[in-house]
Amino acid sequence: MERNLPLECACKSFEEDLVLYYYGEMNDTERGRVERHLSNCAACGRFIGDLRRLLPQMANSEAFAPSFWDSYYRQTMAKLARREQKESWWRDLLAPARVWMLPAFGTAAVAVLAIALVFNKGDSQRFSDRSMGAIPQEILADANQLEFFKTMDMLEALSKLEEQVDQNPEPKPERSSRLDGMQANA
Amino acid sequence: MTMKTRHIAAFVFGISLLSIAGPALALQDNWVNLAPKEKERVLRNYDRWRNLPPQDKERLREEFDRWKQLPKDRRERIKQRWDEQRRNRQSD
Repeated sequence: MERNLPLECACKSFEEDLVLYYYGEMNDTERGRVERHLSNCAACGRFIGDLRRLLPQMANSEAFAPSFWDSYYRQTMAKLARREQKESWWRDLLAPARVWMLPAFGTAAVAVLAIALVFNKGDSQRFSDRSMGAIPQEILADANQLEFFKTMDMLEALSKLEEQVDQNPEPKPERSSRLDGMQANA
Repeated sequence: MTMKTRHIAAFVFGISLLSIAGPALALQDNWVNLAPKEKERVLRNYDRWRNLPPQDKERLREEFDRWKQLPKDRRERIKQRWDEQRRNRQSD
């Protein structure tokens, strides 16, 4: 019956020699010494039997050709290079600025906010009793709305104004009137 | 959500904010740059507008659309005439 235990225990002083014996990496003298021991020691005999049974199976599982490992290495390196390249374009772009960017932008934002508040306040005090927040959103909704409310009183009289402009197209400038008078006198 | 997706989302969000904030700030600038009298006129017109009946509002909107369609030189002549009349009213 085949045992499932991995390896039988061999004599400590012969363990390494038995492995070398299995691989045939001994000179004649040493091989003779090991063979003599094996003929007397059942445990070491079982140990070398286990080596003969197990090592060929382990070797089979790793039987990849060197070309496989070469290809595997090249593919892995290529994948790593692609990944690094893909990740790094924007990091390279921001890398010089990354250290100071956050505090600088934070400071700039606070400064802009403070300046905007100061100037808005000053402006509203100088020009109007109503602050920007109090301006109805209907006025500031878009540029058209502002233009509409700017011209609303004129729009109410637009038709009349058009009639007047059509009847009397261009009021004569003062200089030309004087010239007309001078010409008439002459 | 991957890191790349998060960066793209943040970038798109920032651009959207800027595209919204730009016109809003320009409108505020337009208001700030108005002369005090113009501001007063805008606010006065707005207050009157709120109390107008709907048909008058409609008519004014139509007039405004027509005003925008007028040729530039005609608009300038009308505006000039309007300014003259206003000055005359103020001096009377």
